[in-house]
Amino acid sequence: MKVQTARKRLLIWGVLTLLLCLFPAFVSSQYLLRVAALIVFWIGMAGCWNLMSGYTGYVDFGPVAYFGIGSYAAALVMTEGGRSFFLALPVAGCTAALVAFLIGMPTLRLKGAYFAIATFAFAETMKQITLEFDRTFGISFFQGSHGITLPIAPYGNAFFLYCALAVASLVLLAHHWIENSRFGYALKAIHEAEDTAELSGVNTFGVKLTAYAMSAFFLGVFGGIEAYWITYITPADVFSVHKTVQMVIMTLLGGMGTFLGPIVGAVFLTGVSEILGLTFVEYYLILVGMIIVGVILLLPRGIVGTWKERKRLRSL
Amino acid sequence: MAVLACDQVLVRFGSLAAVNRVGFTLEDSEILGVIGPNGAGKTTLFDTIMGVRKPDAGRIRFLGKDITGWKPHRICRLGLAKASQIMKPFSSLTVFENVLVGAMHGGGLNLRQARIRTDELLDFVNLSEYAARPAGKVFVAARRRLELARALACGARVLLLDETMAGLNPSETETAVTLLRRLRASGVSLIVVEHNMHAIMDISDRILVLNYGVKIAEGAPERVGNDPEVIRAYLGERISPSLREDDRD
Repeated sequence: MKVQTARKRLLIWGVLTLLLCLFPAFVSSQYLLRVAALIVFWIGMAGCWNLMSGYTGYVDFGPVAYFGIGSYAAALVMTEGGRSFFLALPVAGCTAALVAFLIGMPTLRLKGAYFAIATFAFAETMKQITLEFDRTFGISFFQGSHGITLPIAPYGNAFFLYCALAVASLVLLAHHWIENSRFGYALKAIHEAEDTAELSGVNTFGVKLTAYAMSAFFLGVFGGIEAYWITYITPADVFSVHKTVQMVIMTLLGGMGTFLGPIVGAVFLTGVSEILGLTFVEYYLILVGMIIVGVILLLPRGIVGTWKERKRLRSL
Repeated sequence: MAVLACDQVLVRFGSLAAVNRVGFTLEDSEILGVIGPNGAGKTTLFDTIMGVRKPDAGRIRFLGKDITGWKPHRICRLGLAKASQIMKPFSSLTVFENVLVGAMHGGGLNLRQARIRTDELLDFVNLSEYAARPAGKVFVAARRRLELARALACGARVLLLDETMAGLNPSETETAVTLLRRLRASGVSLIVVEHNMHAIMDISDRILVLNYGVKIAEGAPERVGNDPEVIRAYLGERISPSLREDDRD
């Protein structure tokens, strides 16, 4: 049964990836390419949040902090350092992971609402630091609210579609590995009953820290991609809480702690927003809000979570 | 050499000593029963041994190693495990997966080896037919056997059982007692906390009595059962008719 599910996951990923790789060959509209790239980008982002919060149940309200750290790291590598985008990305990821390791040490000792508040506070702090650092120390580094302008990419949206696809694939690979591994079971155990997990030999602190840093790494890389894509970053932009909210909602809608959850959630929300945005230009935000509330009330485990639950109940 | 040794363990909550300089040893293949009224400090003692709590004074030694202040997961991996009715199972995971977690993390096995071990353990505790059932949806007696299986999966040489027979009917209790005897025969030492007097007097090699955090008696079940201080503190005067003369008021 486990092997079947694993093959199904690989098949879904394989088909999607193939379609997306061929997409630019058949579609020349920059708008459609941008939407496709955006969907893949958000699949990856929601996946990052799912890696940490979905599997452990520790609701993280500050993932955008690592996204922003990655954006700035990449921007600085390319502007101050004059290096290429392809070096900037791993640097962005590693920087974010390192900071996550340091921040995770104190923060992961908190639970529930306290953890959520602490992570949120950290994200806001990062925004303030990048805004005020230069002015406080009288140097020119983060450029504060002036933002940083990156070299213009000589590529179209198709390039960024492929970048997002590559990183999102890694995120999904991480999911796939977690779903049936020793580490994955540790995460699930922590989610279900952390004290019992600790008493059953799970190094709960170490496992949480690893998931947190892993999630941060990929968030950092996505931050780097975004920086190059939009060419101009500011603190308010890359440390915006709206990004966190989107990650959270997509994963909630799709289903926390599942492989398909982030995929379904990202596709659903981005797709619905785009379609409604075109048809109901004035009301689409309200409609999206209503849909979100509706799904949360009617399908509390998300689309995939509820489907899995129904399938299991039917087989009992 | 004693398998487990507690030396002058002191645990304070503010100015209250929940465990007041308690010392004892546990020998190989022995069942040590611990009894005492509610609030005597039994659960706190177990928590301290398992590293959930750090003692304010005293040492705890397992197989000669000083494990005082170690984190619970390290203690579990060393071979000490606890099962208790207040330990929540991994409800959404299946019975099989619950034990699997213990085998992989406490027992240090890889996924493949852990699966084999889990099958063996479920068989040992007679839970194989419920293997695919979510742990949150099995009945009480099965839940207890699941807790036992998970603790055993950690490769435990010493098991701390905190009221694992609570809520069982007489025949289920009988099954549990038989299972514990089989464990002892296989080389596992047990410390058992129970309120079911008949069961604990029946199964224990030695009994330790706690009252208000203090050890007030230790020894063979018959001797402890007749100790006047124990009777006064815990068993109630009706058990020993000879004392009723003295305590008529």
